[in-house]
Amino acid sequence: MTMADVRIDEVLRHRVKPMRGFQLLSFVRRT
Amino acid sequence: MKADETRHSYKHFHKERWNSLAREFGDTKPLRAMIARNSDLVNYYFDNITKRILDRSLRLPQKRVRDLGCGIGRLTLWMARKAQHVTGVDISEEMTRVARSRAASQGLRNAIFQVYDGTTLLYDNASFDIIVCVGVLKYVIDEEDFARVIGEMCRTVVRGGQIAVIDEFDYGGPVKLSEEDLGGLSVLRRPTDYISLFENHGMELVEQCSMLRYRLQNRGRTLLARLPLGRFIAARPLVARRHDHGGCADR
Repeated sequence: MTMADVRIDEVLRHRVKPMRGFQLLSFVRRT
Repeated sequence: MKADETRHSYKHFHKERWNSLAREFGDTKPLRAMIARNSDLVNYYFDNITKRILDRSLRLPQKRVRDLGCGIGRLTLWMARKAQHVTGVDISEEMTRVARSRAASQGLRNAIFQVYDGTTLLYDNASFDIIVCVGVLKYVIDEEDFARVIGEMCRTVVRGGQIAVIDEFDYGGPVKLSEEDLGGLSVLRRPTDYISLFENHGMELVEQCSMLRYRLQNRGRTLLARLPLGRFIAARPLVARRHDHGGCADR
């Protein structure tokens, strides 16, 4: 893997991963 | 004392901001007071999708519900039509005034509204079956207050009761937004930051779902869902039970 490949890989990883967004988190009290 | 005042100054900022928005839009276009100032379409979308997600997640009949950060009562009044009793609380006096007036005009007598910032001991232990908190916790920028608000939510919900939080996250966060940024003074944390605090108070995560995935799965014929990435996202389970490690584990 060349340095260019590593760089592209890093860029893709950051681009593809969603960075922000709304989510539902739902919890139930167990104790 | 000085440090303490600085630490709490964000509350004053938000209180004044929400009061001002409630005065400007509360009686005419109430959703603009709470969500987007310049787009009824965005407001309709956000209002619609949050209600649909909560409708699927909550079992409201015969339940005592608290809406933390109720604003003009957008969700409080909607839940009051199904639940036994709903208590809407908000840091802004003007927002609660508008919410009371809307409840009265809609003839909803099982909804009450109180001014409360979420950090003090206002309610008894286990006094609610369900607590809903939508788009609020990101505005609690002080970490001690953030932990205290979550602790209070957990203390006041009954055993077996449910807490549903919808908020904006940054998966690489926390990211602090300034007063000038879109959305105003807030902190976008990671979902894990929320989850670990709730778990410390005896809560178990039972659902985790992103709005984007919900939308893709419920609007399967949209252009986005026809794209390869959209199809990939849409094919994953809508609601991930934490232990079966389904598709919504964005943590």
